[in-house]
Amino acid sequence: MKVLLVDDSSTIRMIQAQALAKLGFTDIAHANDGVEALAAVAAAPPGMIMLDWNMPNMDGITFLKKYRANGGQAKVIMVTTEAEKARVIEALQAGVNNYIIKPFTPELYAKRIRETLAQKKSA
Amino acid sequence: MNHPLIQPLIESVCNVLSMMTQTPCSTASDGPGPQDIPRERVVGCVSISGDVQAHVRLIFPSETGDALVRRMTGLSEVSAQGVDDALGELCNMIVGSAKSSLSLEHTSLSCPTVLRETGVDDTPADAQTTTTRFKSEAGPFTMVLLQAA
Repeated sequence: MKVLLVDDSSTIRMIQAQALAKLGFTDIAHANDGVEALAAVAAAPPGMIMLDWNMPNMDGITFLKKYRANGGQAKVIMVTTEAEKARVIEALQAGVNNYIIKPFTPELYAKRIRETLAQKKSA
Repeated sequence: MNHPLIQPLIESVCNVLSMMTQTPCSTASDGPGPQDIPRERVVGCVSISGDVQAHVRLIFPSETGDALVRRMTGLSEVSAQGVDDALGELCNMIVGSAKSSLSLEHTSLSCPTVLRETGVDDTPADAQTTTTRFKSEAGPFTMVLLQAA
């Protein structure tokens, strides 16, 4: 399965890529913001997207709404510092499948991915 | 009276550094203040706007910043650009976690910025500042909370 990592921090993308590799994912693409992510999903549709919220140019929630409106079916996990209840609800309503709050442990990161992939259908 | 963000920020600093860099830290009475770091330093900045308005700066001596990022990434060598990126993200997590712990619904964070300075203190003279010094296995560092007067 192709995984798209969307985060404006190259460090966080690297840490996530290391964690994904330990889980057996080898096809990993990177995007620095929502604009790059839209281009990436058009070029090569992923099966799962790890999505930051606060990014320059286009934030994660705006990307997600556009992606779902365009029929995007990948599992989407929000990976963000935005932990307030209203933000989580907004993300769920926009079609996110799971939520990881930064900072996170490798164990929690892996658990959320397994949970998400076990879900029958995307949002 | 302390700003309501101070204690959540202190707790968030320790939690984030422990979780993301495996670096225990604690507040210190004798660590460097912002004006006490004459050598090269790296400053991570995140602003909070909305119902609460403040600017948070985390000031790392270069040696401390480099050590934290090596611990965070597992890499023995990290470029200056990589250090800036990683410290910016740590600052983002620290301020974001503190904001969340106060359930501040009508506030937002800026994207983090990272500055490299050589000891010049550009804090506005009329700003109210609260300085907290930390000690850690990676070295000392300082947090400054600024509020417009």
